Amino acid sequence: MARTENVALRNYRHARRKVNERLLKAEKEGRLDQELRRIEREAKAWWAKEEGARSRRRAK
Amino acid sequence: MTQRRFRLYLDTSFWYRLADRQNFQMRRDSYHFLNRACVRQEILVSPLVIAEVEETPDPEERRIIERMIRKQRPERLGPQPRVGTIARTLWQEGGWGKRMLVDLTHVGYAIVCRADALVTWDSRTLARDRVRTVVQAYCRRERPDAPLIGSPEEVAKWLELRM
Repeated sequence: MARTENVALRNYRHARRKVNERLLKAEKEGRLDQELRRIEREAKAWWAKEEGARSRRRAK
Repeated sequence: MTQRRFRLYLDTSFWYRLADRQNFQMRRDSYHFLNRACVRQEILVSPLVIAEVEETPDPEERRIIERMIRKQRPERLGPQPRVGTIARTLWQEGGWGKRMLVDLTHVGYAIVCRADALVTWDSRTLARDRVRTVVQAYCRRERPDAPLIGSPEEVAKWLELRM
């Protein structure tokens, strides 16, 4: 009987592959550090958005 | 004697298991690790984890993971200039293929942020002896302590954390 593919695992591998492709492309173009700075800026924006949402929830 | 707080870098694979609707055991073990072993420890989340979570194709799964990350109030790792150099060095020293760059970048964050352990469910790429050997050799050369790299059960056992 065929095993059911684990969806969480498949999604995790998909996400990791996507980010790896992004880093590989940058590394090939000699800008890995720049790409990491960009990822760090995006994460900072993500946290800011999360905090904004939390404040709005509290204010309700 | 007060036990010191360990710094635990939770890799993306760990967060994903919290939203796993098929493998009950791994999900339960992940929750146990988070709610028992991680109590009083410092949880580290890197920008790379956020980038991977944002790539989650299933919006419901993404919401669960995001909620769990938020709930833990982890230490958010900010800009770390040496991560790229460390990842590249480990990549070259290990002689690995293309798919390992992102994994080694996670290791880079764990090293730079002085994590005691990198916790991952990914035993296919990260939690394996070859990676540990290369990381330990690099850390011996560059700094005193290498992060432990293992599954939640392994890390809980090594650091004597309740799970």
